[in-house]
Amino acid sequence: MLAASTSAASLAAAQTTKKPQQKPVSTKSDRHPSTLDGVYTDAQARRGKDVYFGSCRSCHSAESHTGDTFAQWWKGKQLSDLFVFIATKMPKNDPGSLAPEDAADVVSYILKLNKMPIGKRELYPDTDSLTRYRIDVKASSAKPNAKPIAKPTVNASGGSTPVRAKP
Amino acid sequence: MRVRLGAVGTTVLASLAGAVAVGAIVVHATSSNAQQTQQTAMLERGNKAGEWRYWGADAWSTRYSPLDQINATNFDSLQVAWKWDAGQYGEDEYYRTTPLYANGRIFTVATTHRKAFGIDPATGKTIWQWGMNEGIRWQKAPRQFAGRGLAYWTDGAKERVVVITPGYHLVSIDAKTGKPDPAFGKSGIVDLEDGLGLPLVPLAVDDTGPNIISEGAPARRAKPGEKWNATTRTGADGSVGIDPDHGEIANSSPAIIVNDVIIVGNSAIHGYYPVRLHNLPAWVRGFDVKTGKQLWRFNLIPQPGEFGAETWENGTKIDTPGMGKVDPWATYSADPELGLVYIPTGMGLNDEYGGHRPGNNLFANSVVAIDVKTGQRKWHYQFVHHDIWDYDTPMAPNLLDVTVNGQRRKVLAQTTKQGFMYVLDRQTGVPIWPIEEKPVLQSDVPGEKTSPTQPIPTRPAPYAQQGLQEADLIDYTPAIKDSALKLAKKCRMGPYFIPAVLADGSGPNGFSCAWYAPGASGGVNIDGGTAADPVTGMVYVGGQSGLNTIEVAHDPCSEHRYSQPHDSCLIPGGAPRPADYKPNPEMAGRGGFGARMPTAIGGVSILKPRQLGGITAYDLNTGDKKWWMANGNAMAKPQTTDPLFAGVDLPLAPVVNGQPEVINTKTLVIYGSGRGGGGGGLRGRGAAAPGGGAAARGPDLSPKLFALDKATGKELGAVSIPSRNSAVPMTFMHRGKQYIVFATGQGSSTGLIALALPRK
Repeated sequence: MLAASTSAASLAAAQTTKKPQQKPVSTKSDRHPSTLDGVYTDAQARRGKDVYFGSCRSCHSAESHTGDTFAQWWKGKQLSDLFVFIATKMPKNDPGSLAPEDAADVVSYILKLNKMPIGKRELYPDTDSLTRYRIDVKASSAKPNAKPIAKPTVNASGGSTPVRAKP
Repeated sequence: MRVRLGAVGTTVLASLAGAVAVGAIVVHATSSNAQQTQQTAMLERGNKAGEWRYWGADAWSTRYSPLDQINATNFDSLQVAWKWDAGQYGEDEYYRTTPLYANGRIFTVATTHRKAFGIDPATGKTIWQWGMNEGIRWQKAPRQFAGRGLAYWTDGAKERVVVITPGYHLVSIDAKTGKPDPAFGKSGIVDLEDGLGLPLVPLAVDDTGPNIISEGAPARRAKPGEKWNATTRTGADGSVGIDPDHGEIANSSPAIIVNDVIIVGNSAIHGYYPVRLHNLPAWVRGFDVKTGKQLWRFNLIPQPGEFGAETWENGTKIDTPGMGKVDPWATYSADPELGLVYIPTGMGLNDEYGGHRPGNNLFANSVVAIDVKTGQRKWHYQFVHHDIWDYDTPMAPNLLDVTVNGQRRKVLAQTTKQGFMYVLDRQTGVPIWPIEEKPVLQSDVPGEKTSPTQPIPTRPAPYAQQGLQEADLIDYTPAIKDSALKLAKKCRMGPYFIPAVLADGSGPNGFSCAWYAPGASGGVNIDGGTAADPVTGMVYVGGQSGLNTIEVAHDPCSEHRYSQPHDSCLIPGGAPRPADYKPNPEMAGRGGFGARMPTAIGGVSILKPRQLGGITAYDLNTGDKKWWMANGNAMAKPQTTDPLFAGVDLPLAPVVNGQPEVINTKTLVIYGSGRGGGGGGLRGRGAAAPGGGAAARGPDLSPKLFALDKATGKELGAVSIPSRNSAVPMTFMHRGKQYIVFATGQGSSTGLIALALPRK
């Protein structure tokens, strides 16, 4: 389990990592920029896939952060919310252990999984920068990704109702 | 150089046939009892000096090598001798394998398909590779990764490497050619889902996804006449296996081979976001190393009438609600002379709530000593009764011969997630130093029935934070002490084994969080673990220490009454949504850990910095702690702007989280800081000091391998490495040169890196 001091350190690092020389992508319109404006690069998403495979895949399938599930949990929030969540609460068995750069790469990979457009600049591992972006989703990616398997009613009292019916 | 490409087919049946159609075996069977006796006599603890034939170096899992070519005088001059690119063969999760070296070859596994490889130790070139397409059995395998390693066996003439695949097949491969042994099982392969007393049925899938905790649908029994749809990649592909209605079975660690018997256990799906109320139990089996014949089976969840069955008050028959798991997912140790194998076991179903499985739950959270010839239990010791903290026994115990109070003793030292080392007589299971059943806090979660006591070792001292009490808190000024105590009291406190509380605070005690230390990752865990010196009786524990919280809630799409807070309703493996289902915004997407309560004030941990986690050395002749070293030798003063700490000279605190990964040689403790390594990830881009901030950069945390003095812990050397080690290293001598080899990387960038001294 994570040491508390390290968790705090990672959060602080995520929030205060020195900004690179590049500026965040800006949009010409006055509207709040969103994840549909091309906020990450393909190379960053590829790096993020490696981090995802190393630190996320043993607990998550793509279904938990794509399509309807992603939209339900994250649509309308700021991209910094997703970044801070990953940087400080994940992975489950060692929360806060990802470097801010790794967390930003994972965010990019998740955006790519959700078919967000690829841009020319990388996401900053920086909470302030990511606060500018709203999480939006393509209409097509908000479809339910899979229907639950037909099962008998949940027995919340801990009874013995079998979940998977035999064919 | 010969390269054998693994067989890949379009269906399991075709691919199985392909995988085993390997032609003539080059090595002729010339073994004899005399040869084997000679071979055995050359071995120490099952290993040949200078080799690394077991995951833990030898059958005793010492992670010890008597080599000394690499020593304190030259450690810093180590160079990369070669790199072996595993990524070219396929993707992986993080690469968690410790390779073997035997008789002039390196053996490893790699990729999510757990392909096996022979590698030239001098050049890092692939000699052979083997793999099989397991179809649905692989697709729905809960542990799709390279695994911890493989096992090696020889009688002096034949040589075999033994792999357990993600789809749960046992394969015996000729170590020289990479070809499956036709005399073993069915053309080199034993189906491990067979022989468990459960019928095998045709399998089918309805989706193309994996089966990960509750986030994927499992396979199902195929309908009569059902075929494979190559377009949708659904249907029945010809695979057979245990009916998925009973649960899932998996594997993540290698077998161990003792006295010509292959000892095989199993892993299971993760237990922290459970949907189904039962799962398969766990077993240990022995197989003849030459034929693959199953010799015996031991039930790790005792069946009705067997010893220990009464510790499951709701029963233990297959499909009983609350019954399942106890999987021996970690690695094993053995004493070939005693003929015993030592099996560390995991916990029962549902990591944080045991209300569906009242009782002490034998043989969960134990080490079980089993006679390798008969499969009979010789003794067992349970470290945690009725576990609700995810305190699986997480790695092979270390075996040692030491002198205690003037008497030579054969001991077993089991380090654990819960931060305690339990030292037992390995012939009898009796503690070397008293282990006392101490009263512990009781749960107030409805339906939970906690054990009134837990076994607490009187020595050695723990190596990780235990619970949270007032004496653990920072108290540099009265105001700091008051603030820390105020924060601490927001969650349930106690000395150890603090049970989870209801996350909504509706339990009788009113808490919505309980302090949790050590957490589910230890303490010690499989990524770190412990090395032992069989000469001196010292052990070197690679652990971590920290603080978190634990709580439970009802998952609206789970059969379990409570579990770690989670919402399974929007994922394909979840149970149907209740009619009144509404997503809980607080719960959605969160892992459930670390979300309830901060553990720091202004970036300063409320825990006093203590010599916990990192590397702790103990002398098992006395049980005394000898020295301690922070992981990566990285300490820094917390940086904070909180006025509470104005004018206070804060003490140094460890910077690096995660377990150091430790081996030992004749003169050195050698370790890498592990893939956590300090927040820099495998690429090692550095981390902040506690408290964080660009202006507060801490020690250099670039990827390194370290050498420590075995007697004092003093750092004797540190050499930069291209990327962090992601598994415990190993070392061996090949053609007069000592190498250190370790796994690194994740995803598409995995591989082995070999270090050696430069040529003179």
